[in-house]
Amino acid sequence: MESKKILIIGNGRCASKLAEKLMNEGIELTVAVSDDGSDLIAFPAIKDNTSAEIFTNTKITGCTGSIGHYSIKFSHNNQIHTIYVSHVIVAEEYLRAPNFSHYGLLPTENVLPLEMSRQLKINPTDGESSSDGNIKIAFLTGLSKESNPVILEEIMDSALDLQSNHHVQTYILTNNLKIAGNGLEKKYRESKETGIIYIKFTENRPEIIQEKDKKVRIIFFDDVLCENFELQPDITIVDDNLLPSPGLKNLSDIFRISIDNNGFLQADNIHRLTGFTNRRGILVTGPSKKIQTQIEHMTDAENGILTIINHYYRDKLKNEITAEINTGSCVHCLTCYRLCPHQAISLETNVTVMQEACEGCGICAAECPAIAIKMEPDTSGIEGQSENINMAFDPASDMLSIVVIACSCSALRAKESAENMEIEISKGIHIISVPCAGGISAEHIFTLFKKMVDGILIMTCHEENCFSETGNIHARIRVNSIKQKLKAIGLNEARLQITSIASNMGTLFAAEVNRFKEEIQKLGSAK
Amino acid sequence: MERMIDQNVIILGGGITGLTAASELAHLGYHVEIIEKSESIGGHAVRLTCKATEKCVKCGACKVDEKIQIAHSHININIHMGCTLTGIKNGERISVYYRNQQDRKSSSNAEAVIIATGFHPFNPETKPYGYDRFKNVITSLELEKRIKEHNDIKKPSDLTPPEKIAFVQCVGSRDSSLNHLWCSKICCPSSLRMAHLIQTKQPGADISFFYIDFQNCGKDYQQFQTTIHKNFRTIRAIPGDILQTKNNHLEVSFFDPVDHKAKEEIFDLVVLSVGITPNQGNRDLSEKLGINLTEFGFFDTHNQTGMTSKAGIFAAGTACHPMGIEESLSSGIKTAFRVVEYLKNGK
Repeated sequence: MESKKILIIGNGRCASKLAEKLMNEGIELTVAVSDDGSDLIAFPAIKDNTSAEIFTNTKITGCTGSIGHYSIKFSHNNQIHTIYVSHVIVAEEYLRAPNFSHYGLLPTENVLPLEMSRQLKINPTDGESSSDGNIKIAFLTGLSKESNPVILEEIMDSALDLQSNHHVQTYILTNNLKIAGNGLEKKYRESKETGIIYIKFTENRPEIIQEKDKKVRIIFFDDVLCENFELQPDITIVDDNLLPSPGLKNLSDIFRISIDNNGFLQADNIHRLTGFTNRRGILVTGPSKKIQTQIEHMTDAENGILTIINHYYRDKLKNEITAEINTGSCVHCLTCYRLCPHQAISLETNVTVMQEACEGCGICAAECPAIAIKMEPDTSGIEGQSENINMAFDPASDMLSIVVIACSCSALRAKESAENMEIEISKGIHIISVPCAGGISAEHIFTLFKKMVDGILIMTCHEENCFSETGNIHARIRVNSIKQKLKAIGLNEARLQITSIASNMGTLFAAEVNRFKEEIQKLGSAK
Repeated sequence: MERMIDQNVIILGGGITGLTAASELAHLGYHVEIIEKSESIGGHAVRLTCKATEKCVKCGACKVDEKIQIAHSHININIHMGCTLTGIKNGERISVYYRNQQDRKSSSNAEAVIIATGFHPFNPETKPYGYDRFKNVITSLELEKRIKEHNDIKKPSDLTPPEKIAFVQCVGSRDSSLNHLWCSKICCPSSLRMAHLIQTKQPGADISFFYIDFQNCGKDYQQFQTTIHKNFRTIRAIPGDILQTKNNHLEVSFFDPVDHKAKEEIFDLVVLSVGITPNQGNRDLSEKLGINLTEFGFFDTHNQTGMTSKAGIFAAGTACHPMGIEESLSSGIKTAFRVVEYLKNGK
């Protein structure tokens, strides 16, 4: 029986909005919070609703199963709990780290983090010491590390409030103004009109000095006046670095989902743009995924909810091809478990493939040292399709037999795109489509060479664009080792090639195939 | 068997946002009619090139083919191409009247309508850059198309590879003289990635960027900046004008912010990074529907909720404000979700 419950991991606005929307859809929930959950519980939708179970001070410790049937273990009050859910949504908030050290500053009563700028108590007499009688507040942003539109908007809002309502002269010192957010350019123009002074640096950076009396001096070359200028702000506010929640690393390990270089969940991959991860049924939203605005976090959350509704109300899609393990020949080496990019291998009793999690890439089958894994049905795989090649191949003819193995996520679509654009592709090419190039084994390649194929071109997606994360990398590694074997048996290694292509590049597909054909023509027949 | 719900949704526009919303709704069992004015679906995204070098640079251009395929093959999606909208009546159901390629009048009824009519790329003819007069001044969209269709970069004047290329950013965006007080969001990522691709294909290429502020490009701009950016020359100025000299060379005049001097420099090819502007038809459509536009002429969706001022009428994608492919995809899904909520609760 499939579970109809969702686990939300997170404490904050995004998690609570998600919870609210899911409850409106009548979906049962458990929320696991790593701290005391005060930020989450404060939200009315959570506070007033008793249908969601909330566990505070938890740590996720285990995850087995697959979409519809996850079993999640977590610690709570020194006990390990197990819950059964269909999906997990990670919605942990960011951590904010003020960039004091980036500007060589120490926090004092007049050097403050951005969060404090909205609660500043301005005493009008404070500014009397300065020449023009105004209090000066300087915001430092994006001067050591590139910032983002989320921080810029907070700074502009804060500066606008101080400038318009508190008789303060504000300065915003930056490098690239990160204006690529909705309404920000307009806000920038309006804020300039209120008198906020923007100072942009390109190559040079201002010299920032914090004196012993805690006064801050900012010295820089003014491009307009062409002379050195010194700013002595009464208050200096540094921008924040938005960091991924420290708990995400643990979640990445437990759920076995990928993580990007900065520690946000789900490595940048265009197949996972809208909250998906490499594991079906584990979704990542909002501040756990990347730096974006609250509205964009909500969009993410709604994308995730629609995925869940889709799963609940729609007839389950049956995967065309899935892996099957022959338990008789399996030697329990766990290679498949370690390699599976979609975490579809279960180690519960025997080593088995969880059918609803398997995306059919075939990486496990191609790598299994015991040859215990088969893709089912095999008629749609290379074996099935190469049958036709045998029939088309006539040993008496001097026509070259050239095979293109096309990854269905990229090269096959590129071929269709070429056909739609009516671009000519060389005649006499056998195209075999595979779910993922990672599933092409040495056996497949040698079966084709056995059929006296003269050349094989494998076309995959680009690195970091693979639906199965690393399928294209596995394909390259395998091709390189097969090339060594080809050399050893006296076949020219140029008869086997691998190249990458995107699904929208029809012309390039035709050009690559034609180039390969010409190269093989030069080499002549392999017979 | 696909589930069928006896409710119709009409989507105006078959670009990436409209197709994404259509596929989500169709999967859930709603019947979707896409009404598209041109002869094909896919919108602007279908003309964009892959910008990968060895690795994918995550521009998202390849996502649209997948959406087109779903739209063509899904049983719950009907596509009407080459159609002009003639009227909309808001009765018990929403009736949309249109004229098709053969000039035949037709109409569809629906419980909800999503406006996904997209954007109009800024036409730089009014700028002093000689676009449409000088062969070697092209737009970023034309460069995308060139690379996609020919896998190379050539000067239109003589079809030889350009050696010295200038990218001019913010053409038609962030421009108070046009009252375009918005950042188009797509131009920095697109042009920076194309420049990187050109340098990979043509290692000697000398590339300069005229810019105001560089916007983030992808999830990890810091990384992009430290590894790729340093190969480009960047000039923080927007050129004054561009003149053509002998052999179709282009003389770009600008104020050099480093030594504070007005300068002229010769380039082989100038790429104008054109921004997103609202469709000219927005005003007419908004009047037909009785809904509001923003002060800049995009569809007003109450602080990006996807809902317009009229119940049952939604708007998504670049019809609402500038956005790139990733945001268009999410916007399409989000709006589909809003439609589902509305049809369940409201109707």
